[in-house]
Amino acid sequence: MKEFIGVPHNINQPIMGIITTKLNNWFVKNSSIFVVKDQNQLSKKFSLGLNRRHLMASVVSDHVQFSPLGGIPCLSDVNGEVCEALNAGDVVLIEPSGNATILYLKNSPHNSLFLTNRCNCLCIMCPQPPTADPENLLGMNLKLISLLGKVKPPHLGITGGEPTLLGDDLIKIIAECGEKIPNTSLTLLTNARKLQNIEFAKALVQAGRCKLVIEVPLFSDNDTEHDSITGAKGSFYETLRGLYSLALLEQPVGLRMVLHALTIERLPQYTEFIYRNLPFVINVAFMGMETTGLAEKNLDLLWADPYEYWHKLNDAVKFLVRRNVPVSIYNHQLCTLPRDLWPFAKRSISTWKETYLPLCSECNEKNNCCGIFVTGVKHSDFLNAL
Amino acid sequence: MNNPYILLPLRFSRFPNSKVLIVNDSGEYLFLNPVNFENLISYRLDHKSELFLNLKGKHIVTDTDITPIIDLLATKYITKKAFLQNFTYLHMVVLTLRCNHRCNYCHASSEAADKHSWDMSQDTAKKVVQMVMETPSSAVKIEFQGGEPLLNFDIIKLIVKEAKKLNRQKNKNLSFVLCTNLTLIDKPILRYLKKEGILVSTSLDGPKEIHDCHRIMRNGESSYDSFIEKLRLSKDILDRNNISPLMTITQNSISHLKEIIDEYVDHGFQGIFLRNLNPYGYARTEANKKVLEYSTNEFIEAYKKILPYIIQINLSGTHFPESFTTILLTRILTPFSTGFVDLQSPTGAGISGVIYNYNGDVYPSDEARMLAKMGDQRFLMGNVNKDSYFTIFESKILREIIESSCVETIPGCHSCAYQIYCGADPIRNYATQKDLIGHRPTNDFCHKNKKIITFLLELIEKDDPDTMDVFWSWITNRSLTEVRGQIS
Repeated sequence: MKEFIGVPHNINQPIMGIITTKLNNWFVKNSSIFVVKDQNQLSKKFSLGLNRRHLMASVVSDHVQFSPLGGIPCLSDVNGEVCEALNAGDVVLIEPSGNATILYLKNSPHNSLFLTNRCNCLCIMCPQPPTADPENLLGMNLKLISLLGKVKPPHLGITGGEPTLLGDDLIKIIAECGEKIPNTSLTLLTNARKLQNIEFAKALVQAGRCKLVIEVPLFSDNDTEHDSITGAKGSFYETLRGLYSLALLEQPVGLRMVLHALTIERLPQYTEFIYRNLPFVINVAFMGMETTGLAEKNLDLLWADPYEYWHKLNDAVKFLVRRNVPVSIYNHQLCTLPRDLWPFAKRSISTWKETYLPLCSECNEKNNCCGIFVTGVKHSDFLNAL
Repeated sequence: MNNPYILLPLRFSRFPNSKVLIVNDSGEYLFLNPVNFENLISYRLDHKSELFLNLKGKHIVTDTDITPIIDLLATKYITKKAFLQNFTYLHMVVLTLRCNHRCNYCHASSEAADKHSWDMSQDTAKKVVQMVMETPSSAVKIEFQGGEPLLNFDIIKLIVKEAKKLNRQKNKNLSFVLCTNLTLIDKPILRYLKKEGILVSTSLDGPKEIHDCHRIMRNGESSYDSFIEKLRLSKDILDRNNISPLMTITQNSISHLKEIIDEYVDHGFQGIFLRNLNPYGYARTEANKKVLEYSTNEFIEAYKKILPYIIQINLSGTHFPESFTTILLTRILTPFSTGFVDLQSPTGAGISGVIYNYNGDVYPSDEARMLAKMGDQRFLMGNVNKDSYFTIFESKILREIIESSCVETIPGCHSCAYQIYCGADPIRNYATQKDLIGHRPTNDFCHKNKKIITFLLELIEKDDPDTMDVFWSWITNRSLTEVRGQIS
């Protein structure tokens, strides 16, 4: 998630609120964070009339001369461009240290709740290796959900780490989403190992009230290779059992495959395995690797250039399309794919991670392309303007 | 013995090209060269090799866990046998034995149009409907047969009315099909069919010369001319997709399959079922045999010759599946179940489909009814007028039929590589080999299915992209454009 810093004033505890850009627009009492982008916004009204009853905090651009008002928490000297980019409806967390995080971007289709940093797998290409969780993460997420009730997101991802490690708290989170944002469609990303417990799976599916889609990474047609990729012995069959629990409960499930040197070779066997064993999946996503975290560390072992494996990807997509299994391609730049595959390629990279190369500004397809990961250290050697 | 891996259940067959086909219980298959096959079964295969992983991914071997693989295989096996989850779905009702035709291949044996004693009575019809609606199946299809069922149209109306009335409580997915030669159809009947949502199944053997060759009207007129006129009328009133024809291949027509298919395409029909002659009824009489019969090998050769032609029609832009091929391809290439009454294990006779004769006698299949008509009551399960649903559907005869038709235990089928793709027809075995189980090496039915499955597997192995696109368009019932992912 996008982070920024500023100079904290009167901030004694973490503050989570919804960005507002106009003073007459205090649409959320006690939850608004006012962004001051230029001097003109500092009207009399602001200096006289405001207190904690109206505003939770303010974020002030470094372009603005400002002396903090008594009592109202404020983050000053924030980079002007960052302030410009904040939109009404974004949700921001400001910490006493002056660090701030944008938890929800109103104008992005890629918002997620991060439920935990922990995981029961240690995948060889994990872009975000597991760490310990900060204190009160559950409380923060429940608070975020309640704020989102005012923003009404059309869609929300639920991810980690491995969200099912939360056990009953995951059910609580999903149920809370049902309560506070009943019209929001949810996508839960999980390795499904814990869902082999049919009771847990059932509770999850029920809490999801048909607004939930579950996306599960599966990396091979056999346990030998899958388990060596996830670093967890037995994970392949546990994931399959989890998938079968979900199928039994008629829960819509999609699969995710990350393409790299260890998975490319057996794509034909992988797609056949899916069709034979998991024909109920509603989508299969072939994903380009985000070259950061462990993927960066293991790059020599893992790197495969999309431009060089497009034939294999093409065969895999065609195999599933023939069989009427829906397919998507994530994180692949259009210039690395044959035109036939463009309809399957999605703008999949999260808004806050999506970037383009200088040469992309010449490209006619830029607006249809997912771009590259800002976090990645390596991308295709064959990127070019179309 | 300490083997480096475990072999899971598989069946195999040596192919003419010297490759060995291996198939597991869920229908997943692989061709191996003979050396690899020998290595596999003598536990000499390198379990680090790509081939070993391929076999492992298809659940044919394992060098790690076995329990989860058994679970997966079990789930896949259940999926393949899903047609058994529902009990009898197809209920055929013979409304009359009278017919305005006297086709010489008729396996249903017709009577002259004025002999009303061969009609189903109102009382029997009501009893039939009550019995049909007692089936535990959530979907029910009532198929009106004859003779020519339109000669007893009032009983059609009675059955539709009664069935819909009972269904208000039963709440089944209820559908109706009228099997008619069309020649007696008129506007009021068509409007009735449309109003009640009744589908039409009819007969068209091919162009005029072929059609009129065996489909003979009692009044001496051309059956084809009358059919064409009434087809036009039917298309004016009904949705054209609700009219589908069946054909029977005879000695005269087996060398003219191309013309027959062209005739079907010209009429805009959505596909064809290449059916060979059934060894029942009139077709079994010596005089008719002489003009009708051809050998199973002739049929197989004709099928092999015509399939590429049908594929070509599809490649030229007309979606036109061949139904038997589609059923077999679905079994070979997909994890899904395809019940097909005439080719499943156990057989569909009685448990998937059942037939009620005009007088209320119940038989497991039309073929069983025909044997009775020829004097052998071997398969009579009971009569709706005096027996209960349970007496009929738990009859000893039905149990015997089911027990004799599990290919898993039939000698010869038990070890056949095609077992999961195939099925048994005990009534046919009885008619042709005087035994429910029959004798595989001399069984025509087995011979035909084996040859055709082999032919299809060879085509699949060739993996011609166009052919495979067409096959998948049949299996998934989608256009070629969709199958090829060419979304405009």
